[in-house]
Amino acid sequence: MYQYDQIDRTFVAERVAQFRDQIARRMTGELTEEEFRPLRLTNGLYLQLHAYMLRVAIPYGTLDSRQLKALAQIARVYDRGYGHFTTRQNLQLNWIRLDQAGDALAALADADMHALQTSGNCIRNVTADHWAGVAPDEAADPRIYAELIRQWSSLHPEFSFLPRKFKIAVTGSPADRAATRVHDIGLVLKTDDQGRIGFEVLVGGGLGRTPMIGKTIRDFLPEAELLPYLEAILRVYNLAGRRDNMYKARIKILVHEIGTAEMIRRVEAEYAAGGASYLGNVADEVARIAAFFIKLPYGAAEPNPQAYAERRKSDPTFRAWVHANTFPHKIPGHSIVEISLKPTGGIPGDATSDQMDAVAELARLYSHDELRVTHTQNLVLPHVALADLPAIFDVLVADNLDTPNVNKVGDIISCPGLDYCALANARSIPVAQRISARFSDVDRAHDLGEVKIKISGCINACGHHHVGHIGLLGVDKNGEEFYQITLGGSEAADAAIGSLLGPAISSEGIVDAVEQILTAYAELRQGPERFLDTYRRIGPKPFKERVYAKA
Amino acid sequence: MQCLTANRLHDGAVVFRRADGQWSRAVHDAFAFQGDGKAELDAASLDVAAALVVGVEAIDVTITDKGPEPVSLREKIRAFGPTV
Repeated sequence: MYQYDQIDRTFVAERVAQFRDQIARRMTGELTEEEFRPLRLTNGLYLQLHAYMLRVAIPYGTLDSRQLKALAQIARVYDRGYGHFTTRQNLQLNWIRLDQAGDALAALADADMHALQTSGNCIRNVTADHWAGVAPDEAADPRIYAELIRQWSSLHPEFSFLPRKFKIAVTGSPADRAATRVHDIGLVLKTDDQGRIGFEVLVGGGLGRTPMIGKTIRDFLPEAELLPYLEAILRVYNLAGRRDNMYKARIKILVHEIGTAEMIRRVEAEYAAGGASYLGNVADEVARIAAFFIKLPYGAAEPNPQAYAERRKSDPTFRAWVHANTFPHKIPGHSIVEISLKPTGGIPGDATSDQMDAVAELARLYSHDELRVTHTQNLVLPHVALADLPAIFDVLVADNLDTPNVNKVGDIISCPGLDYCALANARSIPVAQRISARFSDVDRAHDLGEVKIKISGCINACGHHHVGHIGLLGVDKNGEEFYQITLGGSEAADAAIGSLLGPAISSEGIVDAVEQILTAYAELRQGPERFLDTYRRIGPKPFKERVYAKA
Repeated sequence: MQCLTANRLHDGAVVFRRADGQWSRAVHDAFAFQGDGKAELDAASLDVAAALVVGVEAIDVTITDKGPEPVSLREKIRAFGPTV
């Protein structure tokens, strides 16, 4: 785990003090709302439908047990005892009071966390593969580079007033568990034929009202050139990105308008000019940061310990959970455990303070004191010995965290939607709840295999609906909630923007429509095809016929 | 019919303007009016200036036997809380 140094601590503490003063001046009326709003947002504090919402940055989704316990306690003291993990690997607290926000931020700072750059037109929280460091298929550990980018981009004076927000994701694996292809900049770690580490650099991906898949502008950027090269991209964007229309201000629009070849030309020209303000040595910084993270392999572990093997044999619920929620690990005898925050009929991504405490304790006892937040709104224990799985499972059962549905139909991404969000046009959470209840049968869900359903309550697409295998977008039609269905999207290495199936479906009919789509898939699939594979092979027609069949 | 709603500055809570000019957490206490609402909005703007509330808006309501209730789903959720 990266630990804050004195520089980190000082700047976070200074910002807390500064914001406390700004809050005090707002409360007396010395600052108007127009003056205060940008100050509030730059500290991660939004005003939503019911209250203020604090969006806490969780850099590359990585936490230690102390930090998760601090989040649990902040949710208890300053909120209503729960929080919502987001697709940016952040935590949102929905019921914050302005007059307590300074105290909440001070409590965050005590645990080496903050809410800076979780809003505004700056470089946002850098996300990474949630299996970083332990995935068998990775070229290198993306946490180290994400931390490097965090340090470089925090309060970066040149990039604090970009045309629009800017999101960077890093994956260490060709399988791409960080959705790099739908980010402003996506970085895919790889090695060249001499074993040197570098990055494929993608630019101009994104969702929202104009979804785009990122374009590769460098096949192999050597590690040592990372920050100067990112600077060159940001400079081109900062100068040429549109500021006249916020809907056309993201870098994806620039890349689309000038074309990939011209984008490459401009970035390479900027880079070749050698004007980077970054004067550090990337290799030294990488070595310094890498030293904070646990080194593999940690101790030998039995590949099939007796307690684990026996429990698997005797307990079908344990077996189903192991099958769905644990994943191969770099080191024999270990496992990556994903904890589903998608209980049947529950709110995707929500965790109570007590659940956070329980997971933190599991991380402390069994996962080298480290855990992750996934962009799919789940939690991960990355360093677990197989022998410890039975004990972990028992704790998860006791805390209602044992739903065996990772990457299954019930593992739905959902934005907060109209239940909380001031931007939403329709509700998302109740639709997710109804779908997960409909598919609560574990055998049926496991038979349907990998299905990624993603729901957004408005076109801003926080629920990533464009890249859902099945994407649902809530729209308002004359005061009624309707949902558009897109099929065939993916955020992974086979990234694609889903295609609209047909007219929007009523709230009443949307769960039936999803069931009809998946029933058609179950009938039409060949061999081990996933839903996405079947859809790509046979196209939308059979699904359209089912969903829009006249009664 | 319409009424005025806002968020209370110090905690963000949803509030509705009563006939006596005070702000209430309960939509049923709201003062419902017809017309352009200019007088009500002008009066409420003083509370914005006094840093009591933010985001004053006039919303459509229907009159029930409990009092005014919002028409739109968004305003119902604001008035009565999340549906989940």
